[in-house]
Amino acid sequence: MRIAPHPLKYLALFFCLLSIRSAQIESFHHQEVRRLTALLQSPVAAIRVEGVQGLAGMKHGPSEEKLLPLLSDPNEQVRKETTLALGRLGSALSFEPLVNKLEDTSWEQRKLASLALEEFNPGSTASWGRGQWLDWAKSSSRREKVAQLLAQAQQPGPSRERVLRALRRWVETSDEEAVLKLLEPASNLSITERTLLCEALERIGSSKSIPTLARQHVEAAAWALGTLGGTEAEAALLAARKTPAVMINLDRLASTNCGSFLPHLVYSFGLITYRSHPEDLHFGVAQPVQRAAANLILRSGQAPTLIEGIIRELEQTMQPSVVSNTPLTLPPDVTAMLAQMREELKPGFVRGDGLTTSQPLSALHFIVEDPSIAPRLRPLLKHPAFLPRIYIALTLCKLQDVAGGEEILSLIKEGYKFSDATALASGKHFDQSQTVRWKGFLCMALGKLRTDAARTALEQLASDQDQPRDVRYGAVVGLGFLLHPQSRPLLERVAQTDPIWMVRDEARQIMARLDLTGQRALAIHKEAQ
Amino acid sequence: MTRSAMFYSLLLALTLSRIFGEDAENLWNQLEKTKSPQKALALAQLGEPAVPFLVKGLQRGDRVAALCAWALAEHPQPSASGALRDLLPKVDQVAGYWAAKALAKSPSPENISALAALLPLGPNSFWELSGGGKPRLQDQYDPKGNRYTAEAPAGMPNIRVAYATMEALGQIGGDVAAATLLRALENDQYLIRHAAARALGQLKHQPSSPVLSRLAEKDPVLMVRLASRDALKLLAGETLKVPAKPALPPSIAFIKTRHRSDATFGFRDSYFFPKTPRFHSGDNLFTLTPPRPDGTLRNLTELTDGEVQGPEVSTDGRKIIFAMRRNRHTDGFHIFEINTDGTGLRQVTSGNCNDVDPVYLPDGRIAFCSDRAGYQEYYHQERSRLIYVMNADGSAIQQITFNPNQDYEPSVLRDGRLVYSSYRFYAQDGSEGPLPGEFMGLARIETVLRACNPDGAADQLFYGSMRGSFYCPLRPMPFGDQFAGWHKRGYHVGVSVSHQREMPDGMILCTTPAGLTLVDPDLAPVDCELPIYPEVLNLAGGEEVYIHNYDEMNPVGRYTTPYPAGDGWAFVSHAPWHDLRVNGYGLYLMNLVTRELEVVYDDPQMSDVDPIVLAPQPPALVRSSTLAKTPGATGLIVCNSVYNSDVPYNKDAVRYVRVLEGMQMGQSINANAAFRTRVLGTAPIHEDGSFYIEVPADVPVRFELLDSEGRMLVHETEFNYVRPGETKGCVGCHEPRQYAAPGLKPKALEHPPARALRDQGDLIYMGRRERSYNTIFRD
Repeated sequence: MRIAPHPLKYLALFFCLLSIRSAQIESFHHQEVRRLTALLQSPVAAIRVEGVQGLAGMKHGPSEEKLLPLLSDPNEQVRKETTLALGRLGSALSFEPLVNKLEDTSWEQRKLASLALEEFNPGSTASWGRGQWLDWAKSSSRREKVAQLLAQAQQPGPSRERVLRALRRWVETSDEEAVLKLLEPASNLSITERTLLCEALERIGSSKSIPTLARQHVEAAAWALGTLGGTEAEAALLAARKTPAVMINLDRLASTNCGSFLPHLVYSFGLITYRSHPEDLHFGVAQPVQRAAANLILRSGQAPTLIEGIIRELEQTMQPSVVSNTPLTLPPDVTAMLAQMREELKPGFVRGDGLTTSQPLSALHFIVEDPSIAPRLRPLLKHPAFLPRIYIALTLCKLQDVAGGEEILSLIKEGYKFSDATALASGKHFDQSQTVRWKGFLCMALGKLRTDAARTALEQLASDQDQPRDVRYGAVVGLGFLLHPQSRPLLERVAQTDPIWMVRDEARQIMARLDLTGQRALAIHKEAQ
Repeated sequence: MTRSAMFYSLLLALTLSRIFGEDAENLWNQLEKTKSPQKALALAQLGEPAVPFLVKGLQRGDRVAALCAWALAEHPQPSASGALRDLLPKVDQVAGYWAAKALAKSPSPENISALAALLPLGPNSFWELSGGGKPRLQDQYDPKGNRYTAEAPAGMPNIRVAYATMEALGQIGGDVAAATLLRALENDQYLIRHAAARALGQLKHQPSSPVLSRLAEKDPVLMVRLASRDALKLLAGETLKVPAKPALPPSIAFIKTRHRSDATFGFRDSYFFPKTPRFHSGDNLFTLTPPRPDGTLRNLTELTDGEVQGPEVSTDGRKIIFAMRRNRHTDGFHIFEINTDGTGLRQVTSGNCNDVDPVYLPDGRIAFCSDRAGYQEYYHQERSRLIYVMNADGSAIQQITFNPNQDYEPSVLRDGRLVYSSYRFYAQDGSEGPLPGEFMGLARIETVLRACNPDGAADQLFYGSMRGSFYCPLRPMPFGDQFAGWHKRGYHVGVSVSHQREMPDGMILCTTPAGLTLVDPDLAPVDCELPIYPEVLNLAGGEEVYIHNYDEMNPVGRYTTPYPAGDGWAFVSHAPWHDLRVNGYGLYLMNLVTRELEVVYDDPQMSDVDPIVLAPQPPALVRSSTLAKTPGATGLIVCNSVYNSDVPYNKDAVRYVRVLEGMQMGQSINANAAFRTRVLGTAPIHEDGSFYIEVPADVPVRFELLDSEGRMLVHETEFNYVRPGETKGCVGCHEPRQYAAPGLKPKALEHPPARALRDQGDLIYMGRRERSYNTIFRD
């Protein structure tokens, strides 16, 4: 047993910096909108497609104006995705441009426009051409259309959903009261119907809508509250069931009040041994719920004590154990959460059946920000349970700890005591980790170190046929995080020669991404000329 | 008889009784102690003096009861009938089954009445499986949503016992039996109709002719139609054709193993318990010349701590190709070839992987399975085996199937295609289904037969329900452990079809949930099977079976690894019902019509499995490949109409088709998971329901139909793929293989294909329940 040299000395500093830090943390939603909007301007069509698809996936209504010009993009795929996107999020603003698409030379474009326009009229319009749509548009004003739809929406029945879908497209801010009236409890709306009206309020609502939205208990209400904002909206979200949509919108509102459900935030991170979060380490970017949860923890001010608690649990389960003599006070629910993790920190543990309790490990690399903690983390790379090694490696690499990277590399190079052919694939065998291949995850972590040394090491591992298949695969995935042009020849060789399909396929996909990056750079260069 | 004769007779009887009585008691004691089938048979052979002991055995209620009933079926004793009758409604269905067989040999009004009582009036009148000593009917939910098992009501008969009862009534005959059987022809359970049709044919019961004629033409189940046709032939005075015993081949090869897994199907054997991959392997490869018990045995591999697997013979009958690892603890399996005389052993493949299930292709190359793809099936994270081809010298290895789970046991059809077992988890990305009973879509498991060209093109379903519930569409009875058994799409049900071999007449002999089964590949996949022992339905496969072993409920014994021996005959590995040992399998020659068995070889200490005939093989067509050689080539999929589906979704609401890629797991260390799905693209559906889409080649894809809001209406539950440059078409969902589309050109083909290829920024997610996306996505 040894005494930990770092008790709580970082805590005070953390608290001092907290208020400044909270203000600096941009919400994931804002970041994503900014990123995707920028992609719309790319000279490379495939990248514009990504931007269009992303904003459509978010149903980001404010992007409608930016999307409309792309209906006449020179690239057909961009035009197609834009039509699809406007079918998802378009308002009256999109109506005429979509009608004009009905005379496109491409059947697919015409059909997509027709399907998008079906959302604007609850009648049978599938066979309508441009002329019929324009006639219908001229036959009444927007206000009259809304009035008619509102009247129809009073009538319950199977057609009401189509009416509300159209209403969602045509309403404007002046219609807020009427929409709110529809959402009165007596209306007895279905979940889908309430969702449609919440989406309408997201676009046209004001603070007046917040009390009504707070009562709806549908995902769309959370998005509307996130869009409308303010303390009342935050309070409504804090009172709601903590679904991913609720957490993402709390993050949008830069909430600093989520410390009361810290364990719930921590359990949002998933875990590679949990049955439904198998491979999140393979994603180049974290999942929305993970990024939102990390932001909420950081803004809550509880990250330093949580980090300290997690690290202490790991230190205490080392062999020999490291015990701190400095008291640490944690909320009871956090203490219980960390205690539950102990079962999974035993030597040889792989996974239990059903739920897992080690999510604090996966939270670690999202919430640790201070590089000076790295020396304390490095010894944990040799934790007797192998799962902490993976997440500690990720944390060290996130902190850009070069010394940690070297230790990770030497761990990888130690190799296994078994051959690929006789190795177990996974942890279905519960308590036997002797033949579990886990070092590929360390390669992925190295990819996130983003140093030249890491890239060189990964290139060597990826092309070394004497390395086990998980290491070669993990090395290629890691090179994908680095996405360095110099890796391309190596990736090309791997894509052609590695005997393992997974390795070849991953290399091919990274090459395609590299080529796209190069294409983008080239196009920008040409534009500049 | 004179008085003196009577005196001497009595004296003799008393003397014999005393002598045999002592023997009977001795045998009984040994039977009780050892549960030996030989002791049970010896006891029954003693005749009347053994009856008190046999009755005691029948009343005991454990395995001894089944053994005594079985022994009495071999050596009937009418005075044991009362105890036999008592067994008919008991939970021990093996004892009940053999009790019915024994009662058939002791006709009496009481016995007939007891047998007839096992055909209740009304539908859904049988239970199938037991658990914890109780007959299980169906799983249900309490008001809190907790699952519980409902027991069968008292007096409800077991389906397998009832099946044997119908057969018994056919043997006994008479008015009561005939009336009962006639009534059975109208039963909602096809097993009962099948047994009754056979029995009435045996009785030549003319009044049943109209009903049999109707069943012969219109019964929804193939085996009932065929049994009715055979019965009508017997009624007409014809005799049924029994295949003549074939000439024995000069030699066979087979595998001896100390530990044969107790299931009869393949995928369990790749389950990596205990600590190394298992691939249906054994200890050594042997030849037996000639194939009979006194034939000469030769060990070709002489391994002491290694394993062999998957032997196949060359077309000229002179070479055997098989998988082997010399050290089971440190080596992977690789492909080897050896001359049938034991000379010329050569290693064909190498590398840090496992290569198994080799088979010679008609053009001289070799197809085999390997885990070298590097990914893992998602549910239990087994290493995925997929099919590869290579030159005879081991060069030019190419992967030809792209199932996200497992493909294995390829064999060559005479038309040149490969037919193979394919292990599938439906909706394996964890997507919820939109229909009742599909709330956890990942829970359906099935191993089906698929067929493809030797380059992997034209891959399609060959046999299997595609519903994750093999016989469910046919089964109107509750099925206890498969708790949604009433629902034809099932929940957490799974079946297995494997060990397929093409018979001389083109039928496929394979193992299914009903054990050994003949399949007619020309018929619709959901109604083309003829189980050799229909009464063991569901005991030889199924998700619950692979978790829970039901062999103790099997009254006919285990059968596996069949190999055609001629018209209507096959070599099989078989273990009698009373031998549940892992080393219990012996080799037999079996008549598939009469079920006659003739022992070929049986090592009492080892299981003898995987027989192959060492003789020239029937020629098969050579198929050339027309695939594109361009790197990165794509493929095309055309669907005639999404409306051709028997799935009850709202077809009026269909607007789009979404194309999803199943992204394999390469590194996961969890299990029971959902894997990643990439959204490749969304395209509008044409007015006739058709679509035409360009997809990446060699990538597993599936489709979802969406409404105008982009909400999923229904999803294809399994993955398909196209090879580079291939165009694959389908008539619709779940149509029979040979269903011809009307001669209309799908509207979709009038336009360029929609594009659904991998792109930067594609939406990637991991199942609907958790909605873990790589970017924000709002439903």
